[in-house]
Amino acid sequence: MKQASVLTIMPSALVVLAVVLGPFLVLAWQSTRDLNYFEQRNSFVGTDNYVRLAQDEAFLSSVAVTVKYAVAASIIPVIVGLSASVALYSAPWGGRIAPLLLAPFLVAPIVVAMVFALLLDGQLGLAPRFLAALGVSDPENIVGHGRRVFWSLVAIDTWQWYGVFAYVFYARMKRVPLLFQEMVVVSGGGALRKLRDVWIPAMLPVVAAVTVFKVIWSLGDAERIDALTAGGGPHGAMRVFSIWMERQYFRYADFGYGAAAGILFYFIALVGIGVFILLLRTRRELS
Amino acid sequence: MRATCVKHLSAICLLFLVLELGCRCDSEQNGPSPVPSSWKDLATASKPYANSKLRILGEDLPPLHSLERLRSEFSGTAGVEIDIDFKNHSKVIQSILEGALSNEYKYDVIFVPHKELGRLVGTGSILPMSMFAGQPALKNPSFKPEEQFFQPFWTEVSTYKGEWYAMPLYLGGSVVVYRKDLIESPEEQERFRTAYPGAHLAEPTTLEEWRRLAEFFYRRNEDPPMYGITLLMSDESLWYNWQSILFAMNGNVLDAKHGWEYGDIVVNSPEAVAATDLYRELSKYCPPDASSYSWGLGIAKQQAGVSFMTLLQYDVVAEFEDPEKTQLAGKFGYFIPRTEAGDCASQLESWVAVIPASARHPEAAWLFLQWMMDKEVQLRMHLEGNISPRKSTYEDPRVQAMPATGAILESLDSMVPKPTIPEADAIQDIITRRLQSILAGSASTKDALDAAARDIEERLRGRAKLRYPVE
Repeated sequence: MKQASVLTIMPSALVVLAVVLGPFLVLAWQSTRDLNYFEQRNSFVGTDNYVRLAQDEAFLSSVAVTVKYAVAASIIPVIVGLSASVALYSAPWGGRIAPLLLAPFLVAPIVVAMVFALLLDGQLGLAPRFLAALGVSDPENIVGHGRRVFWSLVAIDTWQWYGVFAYVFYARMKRVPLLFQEMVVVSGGGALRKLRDVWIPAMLPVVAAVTVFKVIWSLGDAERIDALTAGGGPHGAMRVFSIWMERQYFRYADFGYGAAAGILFYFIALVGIGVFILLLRTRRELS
Repeated sequence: MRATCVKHLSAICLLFLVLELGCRCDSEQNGPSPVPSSWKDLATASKPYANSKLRILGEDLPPLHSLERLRSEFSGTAGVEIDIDFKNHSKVIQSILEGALSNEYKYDVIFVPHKELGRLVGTGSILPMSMFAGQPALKNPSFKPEEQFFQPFWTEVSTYKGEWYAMPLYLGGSVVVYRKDLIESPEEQERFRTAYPGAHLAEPTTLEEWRRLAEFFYRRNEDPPMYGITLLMSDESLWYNWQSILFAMNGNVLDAKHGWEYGDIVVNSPEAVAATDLYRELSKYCPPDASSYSWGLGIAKQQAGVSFMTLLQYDVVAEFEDPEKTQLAGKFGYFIPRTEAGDCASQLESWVAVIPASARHPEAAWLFLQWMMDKEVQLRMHLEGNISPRKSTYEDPRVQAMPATGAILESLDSMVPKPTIPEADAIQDIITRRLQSILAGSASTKDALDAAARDIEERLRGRAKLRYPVE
């Protein structure tokens, strides 16, 4: 019986292994070579590419800005989405307007980048006028200012994603039986206990899943950043890992080095997400 | 039963055989015309390739659009259809790499930045033009590029180590687009005399005069504000923009006579340090968000009158003379950055057409490119907005009357070649990063250029040595 079940899953397991493990092994093999197609180099170099990466300022700064961006562009939309879902849940017409929140997500990222590029433009955009009205210094400098362009990109990401998250959270809230809430009330509990005993246990798994999904998505985000910052933003401040990697691989054809960077970044992301999931699990066990 | 099946199968096979033979006879009768023995005209030369379709890939640039508008004339004469695929810069580069790796380009002609020649030649990805130029049936005897096109431009962008591989789409070089109407304004002249006693507001003839113009027109607090100069400091354009000033101050990256040579690394020379300091000084008079400007945004801002001047390249000057694109059309002037001694110097740049080794119709592609370089076609492309590298174009009175023509012709003898070696792109990336650290204020000019020199030396793996040693 057991043998039969193994045989049954074997074909799909093989396909998954070939699709997931195959490219990873090719990448691992490439990462041990000095492999540059255009410069006609191909020799075994062991861990040299990894050593080079550890000393490469451009790589290290691209990883740092990517991680910072992925965290900010995940946590903020999730918080805004959660707040919006609470508002929807509390409002009697919440169910009717919830689907409308999906609208920003339907706009292609490149279109979003073009629209916001115009809004944020120093001389032609509306955002600098708004900042000037608020008394912000140097209001015309948004995309040319490292910190401002970073937070602008996070804000754009939040605008595009919070609706999807709000919709998902709202759907989950509607599935929580009213009985649980009534039980808390009957046993003399207040709003805080309701939050602790009903809402947090019900919402935490879906919030965690959505956050992990968004972090993974943001780690690979390049199209919108590239379009809005003309390849990396002011003085390379927004040269995220995907942009850096694309250059190593596709522009310089430095396959060995690019592969090593890909593997290293994969592990950095894996460890980060692993730690996040472990923290959540610990939190759940404690509660 | 089995016998019946065999009979049916035999009949079907026989039917296929008859049909196949019929088709072959038909194709032989109506097939390609025999190749003529010598050049008569384009229509005759292209007869063997009639009804074929040429697929062309290039960046979405104004010169390629002017070629697109004229392509029907080639198709009408040669009977060869032209399909141009416009992509953005990085997609074109990605397509080149994919094609080179698979040796299976989908295209018959690819327009690439001329700096890519080293990589494409080194990997055998493109065909030498001598393959076609050596065939009397394909080569128009009146086509003599070495004589008919500007030198050293032609040699630098079309050849690699003495072999001919490419045809230039346009003549590229440094140019400053400025507001001529403001320079001629009596109020501005008066204001200038007050600000700089004894000086006269005019087109600059030295680098110091240029810097002073940027300073004078920097009026950030006026309504509407105006900026002295726009420099394109984004990742994509910084390297090109900086080189315009580098060459004007007799600096260079590699001290080589030709782009395909390595030469000494001189990016940290005193001239390069001085040029970079001037670039940084000029950046103070830019719009504050210019560190994110690439070509498109730089052009748009100048068209909108945001800055007094913008450091650009020739191939976009038509964008400033079209009343449909800017209300300031007719009010712009053009000058070339000058050396300290007052001579002008310009970088040498082009996108060039190459024929991939895997092209399906290489002969037809050659005929198309030869047609593109023709005297009449070059003139028409120039009048459409392109900048022609052919000398005869500038004999036409309409071209002579164009506002940018004088500046372009003035710079032709002093064009400085740029690296076309396989590592050219990597050098660009190294220098861009180091320049960004200077402009961001996180490194001194000398330290950053020394670091760039060291990085380039490491990247070139012993092929070039440092002329200015770094501790």
